[in-house]
Amino acid sequence: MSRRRERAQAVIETALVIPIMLILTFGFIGLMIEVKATSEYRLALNMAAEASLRAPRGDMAQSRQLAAFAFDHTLNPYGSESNMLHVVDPVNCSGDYYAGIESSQPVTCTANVQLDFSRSVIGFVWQSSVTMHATGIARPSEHRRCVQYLSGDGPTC
Amino acid sequence: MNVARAGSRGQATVEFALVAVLFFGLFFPIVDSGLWAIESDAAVGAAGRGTVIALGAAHDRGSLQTAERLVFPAVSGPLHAAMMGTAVEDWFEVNSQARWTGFVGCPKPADVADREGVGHVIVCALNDGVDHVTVSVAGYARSFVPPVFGLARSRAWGLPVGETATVPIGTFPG
Repeated sequence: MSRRRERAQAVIETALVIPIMLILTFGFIGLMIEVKATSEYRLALNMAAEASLRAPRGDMAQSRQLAAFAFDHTLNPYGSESNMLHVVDPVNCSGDYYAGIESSQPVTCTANVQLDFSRSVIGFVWQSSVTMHATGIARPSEHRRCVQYLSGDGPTC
Repeated sequence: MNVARAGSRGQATVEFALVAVLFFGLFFPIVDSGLWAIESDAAVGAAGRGTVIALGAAHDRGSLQTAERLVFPAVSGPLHAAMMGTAVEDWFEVNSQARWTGFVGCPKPADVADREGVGHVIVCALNDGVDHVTVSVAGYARSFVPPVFGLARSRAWGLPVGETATVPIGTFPG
């Protein structure tokens, strides 16, 4: 009788401990993937902001096009979590530089991205997706601030 | 009496074997994912810093080809410190070797592992000829976790590191 009770106790203990260990393990792996995805997402936003300054001041259409290109091509094309990251709201940049105003204010870019584990084993623990919000910043150099799109190539200040 | 003791010892051994497999099966992936996060984060930083350096140098020196050569010296130090025993190599040094003959563009992690093996990460800075500069850090970093217990997408004793930043130079370089 006592051996049967011991066995039953062991089974119950195992049944309690294994799910907890699995939750801890997959939870930690998911957290590490989120850390990596976040830094990559921020890099993509910073690259988008940097790229938008490659157009002359005031050329909003080209700035937007360059920012979108940099964002899409930097948000990991082949990394381990690339099939888990989904763009919810595309990159959107703004700032005085976009409006053609001569200013030292930075260009800021935002986009919303979702990290979704539902297609992987980690999805058993991370049931809900993680939505990320961040802002990428790039400051126009003095050279760039002084050259305006409509006024030609020469510096205006 | 002796039979009972031998039976109890046998049970303890079997229990230990089961628990050890379970424990290490969970512990090692945790270590692996931690290492992967540190190394990948360093790769993200290197790719971003490298791109900004290449763009800035392209303006200062008037040549993107010259600027690409400046990326590796600028990012290799911090990258090497974070890679824990993994060799960090310059694409311009590596691609002249016979095993890379005919390869176009920046390599992906699997390309590096196939040609260089695990434990090598390559920093590549290139322009595609149509005004885009790409900086990538790719390869398989060394892992301390036995292959059986490693993460699903890792190679034996290696963890995939792959980060790419691409920025258009635009019609207004500088």
